[in-house]
Amino acid sequence: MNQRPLRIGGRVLALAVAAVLTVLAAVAGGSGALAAAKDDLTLGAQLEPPNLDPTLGASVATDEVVYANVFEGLVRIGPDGGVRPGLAESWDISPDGLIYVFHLRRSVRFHDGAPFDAATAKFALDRARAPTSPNAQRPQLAAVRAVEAVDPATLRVTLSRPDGGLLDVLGWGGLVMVAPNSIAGAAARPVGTGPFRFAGWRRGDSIVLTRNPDYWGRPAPLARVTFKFISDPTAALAALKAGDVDAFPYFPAPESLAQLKSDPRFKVTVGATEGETLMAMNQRRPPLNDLRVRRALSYAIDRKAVIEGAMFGYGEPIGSHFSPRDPGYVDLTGRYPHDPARARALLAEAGYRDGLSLTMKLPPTGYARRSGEILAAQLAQVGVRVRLENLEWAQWLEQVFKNHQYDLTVVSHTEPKDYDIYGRPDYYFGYESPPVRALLAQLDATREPPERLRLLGLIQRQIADDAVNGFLFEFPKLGVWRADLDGLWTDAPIEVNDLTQVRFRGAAAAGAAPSAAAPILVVAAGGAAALAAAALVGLALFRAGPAYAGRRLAILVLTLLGASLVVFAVTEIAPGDPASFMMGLNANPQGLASLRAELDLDQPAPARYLAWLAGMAHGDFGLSYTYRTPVADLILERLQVSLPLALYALALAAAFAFPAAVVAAANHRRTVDRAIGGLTQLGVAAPNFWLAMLLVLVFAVGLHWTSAGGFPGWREGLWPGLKALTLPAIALAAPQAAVLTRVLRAALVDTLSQDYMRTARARGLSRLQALWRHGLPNALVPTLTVLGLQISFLLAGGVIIETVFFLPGLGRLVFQAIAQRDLIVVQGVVMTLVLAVAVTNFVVDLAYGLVDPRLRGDRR
Amino acid sequence: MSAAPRPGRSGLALGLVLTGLLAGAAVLSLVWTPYDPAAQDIGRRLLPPSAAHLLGTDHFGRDVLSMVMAGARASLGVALAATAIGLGVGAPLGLLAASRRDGVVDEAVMRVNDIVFAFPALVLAILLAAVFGPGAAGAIVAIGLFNVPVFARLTRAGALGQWSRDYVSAARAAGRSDLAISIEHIAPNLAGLLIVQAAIQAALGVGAEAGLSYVGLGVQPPSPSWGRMLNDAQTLAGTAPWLAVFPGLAIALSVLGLSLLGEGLRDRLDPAWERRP
Repeated sequence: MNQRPLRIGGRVLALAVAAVLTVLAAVAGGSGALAAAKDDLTLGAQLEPPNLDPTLGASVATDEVVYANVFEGLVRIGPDGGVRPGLAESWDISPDGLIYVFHLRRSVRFHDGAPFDAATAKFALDRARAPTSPNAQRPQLAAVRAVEAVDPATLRVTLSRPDGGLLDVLGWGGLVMVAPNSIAGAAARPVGTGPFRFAGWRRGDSIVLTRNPDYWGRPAPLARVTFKFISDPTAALAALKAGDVDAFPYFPAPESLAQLKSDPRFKVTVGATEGETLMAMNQRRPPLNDLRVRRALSYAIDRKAVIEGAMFGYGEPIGSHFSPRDPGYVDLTGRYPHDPARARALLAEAGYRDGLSLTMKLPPTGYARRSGEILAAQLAQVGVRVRLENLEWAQWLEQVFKNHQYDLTVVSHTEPKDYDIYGRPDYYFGYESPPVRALLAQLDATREPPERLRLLGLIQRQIADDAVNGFLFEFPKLGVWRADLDGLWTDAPIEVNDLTQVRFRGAAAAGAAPSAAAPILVVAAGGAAALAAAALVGLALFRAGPAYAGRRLAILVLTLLGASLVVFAVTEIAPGDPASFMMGLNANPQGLASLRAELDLDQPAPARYLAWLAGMAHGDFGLSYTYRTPVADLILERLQVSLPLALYALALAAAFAFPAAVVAAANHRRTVDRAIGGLTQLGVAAPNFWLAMLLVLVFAVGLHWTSAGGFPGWREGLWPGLKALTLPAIALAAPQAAVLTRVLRAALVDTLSQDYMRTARARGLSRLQALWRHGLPNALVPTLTVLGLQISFLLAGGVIIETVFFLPGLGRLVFQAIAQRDLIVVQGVVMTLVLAVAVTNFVVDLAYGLVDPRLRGDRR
Repeated sequence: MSAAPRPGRSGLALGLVLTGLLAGAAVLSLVWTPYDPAAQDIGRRLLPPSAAHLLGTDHFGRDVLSMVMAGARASLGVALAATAIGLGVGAPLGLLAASRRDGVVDEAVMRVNDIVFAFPALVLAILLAAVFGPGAAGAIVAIGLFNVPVFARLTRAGALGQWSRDYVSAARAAGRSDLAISIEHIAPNLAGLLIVQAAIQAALGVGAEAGLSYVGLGVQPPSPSWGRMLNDAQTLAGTAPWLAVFPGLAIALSVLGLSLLGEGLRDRLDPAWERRP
């Protein structure tokens, strides 16, 4: 071991440096964004719609995208909740309230060119009120007897009884105008008459609308709107702060509002919605079918504490299922005051003296999860043990909403005037009450406002008396958007995003240019790594002989095969069928069969394993179940963040470790050595994500030197990207730097006693100089293993650091995929990480074989 | 190879104290905490540290000190269980690999090791969570599996050394089977080595459990957990920094204590033992 290690070490280092430089050059080359006037809006939303046909069902998420933007109704609801003209310019109502005549706008066309006229309107309304229609507004059209097209611009609607609520209902999301030729495909490609056209949908990520140049009215100020779906509240905050989204009209993180209010970049609004938030109780099964138990739970709830704790004080308490904004509202919050003693007494009376156990299934919204934890603690005080179960939306819809498999849940009912659900015994909480049904029928038949208000009051009281649900609070509409953005609604009389009047003041800021750097970057990094590996393999073959290299290669292949088998087998035994999970509530046998065939799920497991393996061999990781794009593309896209982060951290770790180790070794067993030793001991012990949080506290929250997270993308240029990665890289590097320092120091101390060191010292070099020039190259040998292994640790460990900083890397991809049960993506990401680890081990083994002939046992 | 700065007696003592604190807090929390760690008091939420709440309160008004104490249970529990899996599976595998002369078993064990070794604990946990849903059991299995090759390699290396000793040759000559020799003679001689490694793996386990709980794949609510406390603290760190500081400190000190204990013991048991990073 004389000069040989030095040369090899030098080569490896040179290759590594070359690889890093190539990456950086590629990043720099791909930068240079185009500046343009800001007329494209990126809007954050928590829920992704299951489909885009608003006439299909009750998904608020669909309305949030298409209402008023893509589809329009005869009338529409304005920001104040009032009814305004839509595709009908005006209307006349007969004195007896039984005949509505709508005068329609002329020369209105659908996005595909189909004309809109009275015949189309008749089609849309008849379709919505047909007995088999799944339309959410079908029950409210019960009074309609006939719809007739008098002439192309005149529509007559005849009622069997007066219905004061009809105009409101016609303005709701389900009763928008749709055309017979395009409605069949609207779930995936909506075609309406609105100022925006549907332009594309990346499932799991975003939906894009573009301005409709042929709009019948005033064209929208915005040219392009992207709805970006971000379910995690902390990620929502990060997306706003990083500028990934311009607006979050239904902002899901009340805890962050104070922080955003003090930021001049943003405007924060607190408005009202029609969302009654309930602790719903399943009355289909005991013990919640017992009125005394439900009343006991109602007494056990402390609403003020729930609003404070779950909503950070935002939200108005309610005592029944009715909006405080409505003129008919009766304040019933005093009906069940917080009274644990009475709750216990009622439970004892119902036979639960020793308490009882219930399961609370919570959907994945922040308010529900937090309310659930608080409610569980409050109920525990009266002896009700609550087991919390956190579900994803698809699971919640399946188990709670559809199959009545739950005891308690927390959810906000955002539909306006939705008290009719208390007349539906098949509804998910299963409330069966003839008196309420009679009152609802009476209400339908009543037109005089005072009498209607009286009936509404009676309904509210009856629901409260029966303690149907735990009534918590009216959900607030918390909106956050860029200070230079105008025209978004403050209140939400209906839960939509009306973008027709939205515009940016002035023409500032650069528009997003599509990233050209992305593929180049990954290809360059991959290429450099491959080159380095190939060089090593070549060297190894040359120096160590084919037997050694061949054996290492065989072990690599065996390891990868074994790992792939493990990954496949584990995901194979996963409960649940991906196809039925993907289809959710719309699942039907034919659809499922064709989807299973499309995903190759109908093949036997061994065949699928071989196909998967064969695909991976040439870079095809399969098709993502939720995104419907190749998994390999998703991984490549995320590697743009994860790979530079890992390399950056490696560079930082080395930059710290080398000088520190040399200094420590030069001062062997002195104070400096002990100090560095103690520091590295701490560095190994402190978890890197905690360090990351502390860095955020100090540098982002305290000193405002950098943003608290998010990633601008490489398209903005090299510097903003590197800046965003700096804190994460430091946090990621710290434990690795500590480990590297310890290994290197030990190796250096070892060299101190070597002959060549004595010679060097005799030539007059100081201990430090001797170590740096002669000790370091030789100490690199044992350090090589650690250095190599660290690349894989850094890639895998980055998964957690990415979560702290909301970086769109492999970590976020895999956690999202887990939530959506997109197992093929999980498989792909895991195999990528395993591949990285195994290949690194292989390369390190080869390098070791080069350096240390004793390890090449095969070549004798 | 010579040593990193020798922690010596002071390192071992510090390790003992910190580990004692960790175990003490975990045990004490079973019978006493200043407050009920699950008791919410919304009126007293987000209070900074004070005499009444030494480490402050969280966003539900829970006492952070009580939660940190109770969290020690989850941390230590998961780490110890995972170490037990690693030891229980890995050590016999290592003994087996070393005892068979033909090398077939040895080769097989080492190749399986390679495969497991290719999965970082976190990646394994992600895979298990994707399939079975997140939970403490998944975390224990994932960290435990990660420990298996560590113990297997160590045991194999140690056992190979023992097999060449005279007393083993004597036992063989006396007709004892390989299995009996492994159990009766070799395993006892490796005990010290394995105990040391167990302390170090437990330290890694505490860190890994915290990481998994932080990303939501570990201990589930309402059981208190340091990692999840840190996750909860994240959006509130600007207004309530103590929420981010104390659980992290608890993790760091526990990891530090266990690894100092392991390294200190190693120095005591076998001063000549090659120090590892």
